[in-house]
Amino acid sequence: MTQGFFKGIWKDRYVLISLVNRDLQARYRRSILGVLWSIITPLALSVIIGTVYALLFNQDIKVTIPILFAGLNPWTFITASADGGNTSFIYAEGYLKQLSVNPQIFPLRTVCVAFINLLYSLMAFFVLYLILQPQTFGPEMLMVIPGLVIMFVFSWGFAQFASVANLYVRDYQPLQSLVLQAFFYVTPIIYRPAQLAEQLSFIYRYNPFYYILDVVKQPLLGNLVPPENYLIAVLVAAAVFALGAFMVDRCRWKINFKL
Amino acid sequence: MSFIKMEDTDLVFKVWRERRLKDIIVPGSNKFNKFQNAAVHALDHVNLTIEEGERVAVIGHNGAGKSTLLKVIAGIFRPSGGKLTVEGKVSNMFELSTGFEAEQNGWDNMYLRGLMLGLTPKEIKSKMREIADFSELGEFLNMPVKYYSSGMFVRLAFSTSTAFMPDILLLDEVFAAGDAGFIDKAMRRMKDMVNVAKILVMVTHNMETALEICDRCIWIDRGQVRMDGATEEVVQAYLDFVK
Repeated sequence: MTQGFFKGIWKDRYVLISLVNRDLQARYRRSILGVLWSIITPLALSVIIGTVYALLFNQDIKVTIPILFAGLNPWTFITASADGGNTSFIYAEGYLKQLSVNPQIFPLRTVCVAFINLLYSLMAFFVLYLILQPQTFGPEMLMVIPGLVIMFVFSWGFAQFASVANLYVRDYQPLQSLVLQAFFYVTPIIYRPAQLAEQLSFIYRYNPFYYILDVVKQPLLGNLVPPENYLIAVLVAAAVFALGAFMVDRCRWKINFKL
Repeated sequence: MSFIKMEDTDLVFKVWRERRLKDIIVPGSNKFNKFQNAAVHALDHVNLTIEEGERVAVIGHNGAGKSTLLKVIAGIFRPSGGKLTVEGKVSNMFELSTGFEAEQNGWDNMYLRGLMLGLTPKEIKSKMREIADFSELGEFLNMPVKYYSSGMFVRLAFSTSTAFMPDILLLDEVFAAGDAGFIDKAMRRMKDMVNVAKILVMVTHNMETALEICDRCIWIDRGQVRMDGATEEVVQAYLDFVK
């Protein structure tokens, strides 16, 4: 399976690039600030939530804003991929039924668009961080690159899973967004694991999202991630990807009849 | 050397019934839906060989399996049984006004369609001027395609699909919406294409078109080849049958 799967993507790479470009442009069509919104939105959101936290819980804004930012943006990327995955084949119906294009590029297209938006928001993050805490900058931050690779593979697998699941049962989409909403609260994104009581620590220890987020979040904040957490993150990402890709590959020829 | 060879090719697909909570709770509430996970035998053991240089018309009733036949050759559907060999670069043009990015203009859609037909960005860019000229769409190419009429879609899609001289060209009812001038031009192009030894397979309900362009005609009925031969004979037999 694997060979045909990746060969198909390679064959339609130009289509993929062109579609991703189109999506990025279409998003800010007729807007004056255009792509700047990709930077402004996460920046403003972190400032809003950070200020609320600082006011309500008396926390230092210089510490909370970067933590929120480093957690929220990768999370947005994961959910955008998963959500977009739901409709990636459905929106591509016109192409899939008309032209012999490889369907596996469509979930990937969604993930690529979300990933580029994540990269924009990370640019905003570094600018913000440089102003707030320049002393934390160091080579450890380069570890964000392998972290992003792991997160990309995970989200791609997730999007593929959602694309097939939603094709069979359309109830999957609302169900998934509910589950993700629940995970948003049980995963330390807008709070720190240390803020949880010891007897509650299981809710992130056994939470795959925690490990996937951590390999991006910690390097962004200038911290190192313990090797065992990397191992778990890699295993989770590989498993989710394998499952998603397997499902797409299995349904390769059924997609057209399901649309 | 291009050819299409179908040996005992079969295509069965399931029609999935929509199930809602109401259908489960209230038995018989969905009485209009008789297709309960039924299987449709769209192609029924088709044996067919189309050689280089042939211009083939596919005729038959609605729902006979004509479009399915083309989609199988194009690689959009995979046969569920039998063998299919397609040798050569395929270009196709099926239902109109889907497979376009509505918000994008004609140029962007031309580019994207070219890519999906297997061209590289370089190849398609070098052909864009030529495609635009052939389509005669002029200024309309700068307009988002959501404002296009069906005739304009025909012009854009046909011009793109035929611009790069594919080995095999598959057309499905493409001239229903074109105007007389464009149909004339398109017909000339199709004849020219086959002069350089390519394959043309077109689905049509217009017998004059079939007679004018094609030298071979296949009559499909309920997923089977009912008749295959010279266009005049098959068209005559079909018309007699319809009467």
